[in-house]
Amino acid sequence: MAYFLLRRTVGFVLTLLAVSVVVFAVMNVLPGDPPLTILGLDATDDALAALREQLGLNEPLLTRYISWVWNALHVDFGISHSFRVPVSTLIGERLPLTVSLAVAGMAVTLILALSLGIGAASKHRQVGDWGVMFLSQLGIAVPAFWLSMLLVLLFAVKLRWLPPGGFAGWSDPVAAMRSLVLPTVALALVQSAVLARVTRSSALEVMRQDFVRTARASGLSRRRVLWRHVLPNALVPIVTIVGMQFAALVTGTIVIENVFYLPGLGRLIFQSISNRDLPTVQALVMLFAAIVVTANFIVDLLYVVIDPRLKVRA
Amino acid sequence: MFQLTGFTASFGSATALRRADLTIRQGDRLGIVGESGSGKTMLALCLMGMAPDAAQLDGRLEIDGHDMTHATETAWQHMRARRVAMIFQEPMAALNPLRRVGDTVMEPMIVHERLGRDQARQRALSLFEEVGIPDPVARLRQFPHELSGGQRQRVLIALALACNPDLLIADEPTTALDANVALRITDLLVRLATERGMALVFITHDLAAVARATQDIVVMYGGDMVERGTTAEVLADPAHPYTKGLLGARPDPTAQARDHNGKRRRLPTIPGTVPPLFSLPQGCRFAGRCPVEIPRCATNRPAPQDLGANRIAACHLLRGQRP
Repeated sequence: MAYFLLRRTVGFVLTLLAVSVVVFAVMNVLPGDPPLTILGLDATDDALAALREQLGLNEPLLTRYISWVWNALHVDFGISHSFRVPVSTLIGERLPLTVSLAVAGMAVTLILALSLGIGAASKHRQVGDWGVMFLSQLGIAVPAFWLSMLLVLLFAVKLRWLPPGGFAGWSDPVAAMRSLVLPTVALALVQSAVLARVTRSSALEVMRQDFVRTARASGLSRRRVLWRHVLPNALVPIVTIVGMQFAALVTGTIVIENVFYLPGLGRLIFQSISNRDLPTVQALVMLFAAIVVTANFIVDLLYVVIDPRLKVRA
Repeated sequence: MFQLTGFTASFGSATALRRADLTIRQGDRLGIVGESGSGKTMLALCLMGMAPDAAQLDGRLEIDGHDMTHATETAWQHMRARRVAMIFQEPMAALNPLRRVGDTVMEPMIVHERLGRDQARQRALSLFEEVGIPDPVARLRQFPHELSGGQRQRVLIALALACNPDLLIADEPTTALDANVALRITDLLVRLATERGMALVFITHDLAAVARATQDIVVMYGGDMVERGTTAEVLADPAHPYTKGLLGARPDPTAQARDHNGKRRRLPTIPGTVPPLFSLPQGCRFAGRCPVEIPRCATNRPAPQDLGANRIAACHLLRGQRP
């Protein structure tokens, strides 16, 4: 068990390191010259050379990589070229919104997908099962940005229940939550369509096993058998997918925040790419990658929590 | 207390259980024997109200005079564990792998009798002792994969006894265990039934185990109960040709391995196999494999004949007296 934890933790750190190398390398071979972007086309060669020196772009690659990692570890990602403020400040301002969106999206996804998936499995080959399967097929086929537009048309433009987009800040929590409802739903619907299917097939697999019959023979209600005996045993594939989906949700905020005009990390990365704002883009890409790697690390640890048999093998 | 009258379970044209009559009283120890596919397990599942959803049930199934033939799932949930409990064939697969076995055994007590966790743990401990699990305090906290096959079957027996059932159905409880452990589990079931005054239905194809464990026996073939009586009498002097064949198919440990010509003796068998449910003969289910068949057998179902002393057999060749 201790060995397992150690191995996974070392793997986690090595993965993050590898990701940082790739992010750094890709950012530095991309076309586009940051000094030129900052100073504009009219800049003199002297000015460009001076700025290049000031940004440290004349240092060898390895030196620049090491100092980038060292500073990043101290939450210093440099100064944004386009906003002229520290990147860490930019991220700090926008992180709560994106995290709220991703966490709320994940929560809605889990509630929807688990109840629909388990429900469909318990009504296997009946109307309820077909209904859920049809809806989830639809959900998988529909792109999130198009679904967002439909949601805005219906709930914001036609019914006027919710704001169509924008975000006024956290000072008015009710208004803030209202502006997050539609983006959350748009993010969650597509993901829950996938997860509901996984849940259903995994639950069906478990329901065929002998211990489910034992549970029924103990006089437990169908509901109790489903939630207390079938679901925990169906969790391993579900958790695997949830880990991948959390990554998809975090990156999905890039599209959703742009559609709903929300000032989060997704919008920031979009703007920074257009502005050739290298330090910001580099920090954000690294941050998104770190979130994905961390999600997978947590999933690995969850396997052992779910299934005690893995402790022996691990 | 448990009574089946003309009870039939069928799937469309396939009949898994045909007009079964059976009474189980307190303290009865009843063996049910027959080949795979003879309807033994179907009978057990019907007694638990756990027949597959697709099964059509006819006739009457009563528990203490209440008609349960078409009872709802909720009504059955009240019966299970408290009135009738069951242990299954595969102890390896019959326990939830993610739960400590103590929690599994305590769950029906908490759900049905609203016991607190401490009370439930006390009862689980005494059940573990009763079924002969050594070091019960530590076992309660273990997971199924940490126990041997015999231990798991004992846990399943403890689970079945959790709410003091009146009837315990054991569906081939020893098939998956090695011979030595199987014998001990069989004796354990007999001891528990006797001590608790609980009825036991012991389903098996192990005739030695039946002889050891039961007072009465029902022989099943193709969904029919073909013979019934006290275990000792039926095994000593079978009336139905199928029972004779079944008994004849027991390997005889005293027989020489080679006959007088020096050829290796083959084990005796009943020729043929049990036909699939949908192509069973309309009359006697054994027609086609029976060594003493007469033309009527394939078309007319032989009525159960009372042979006296609680012996009943269903065969055209029995005319109210022993052949």
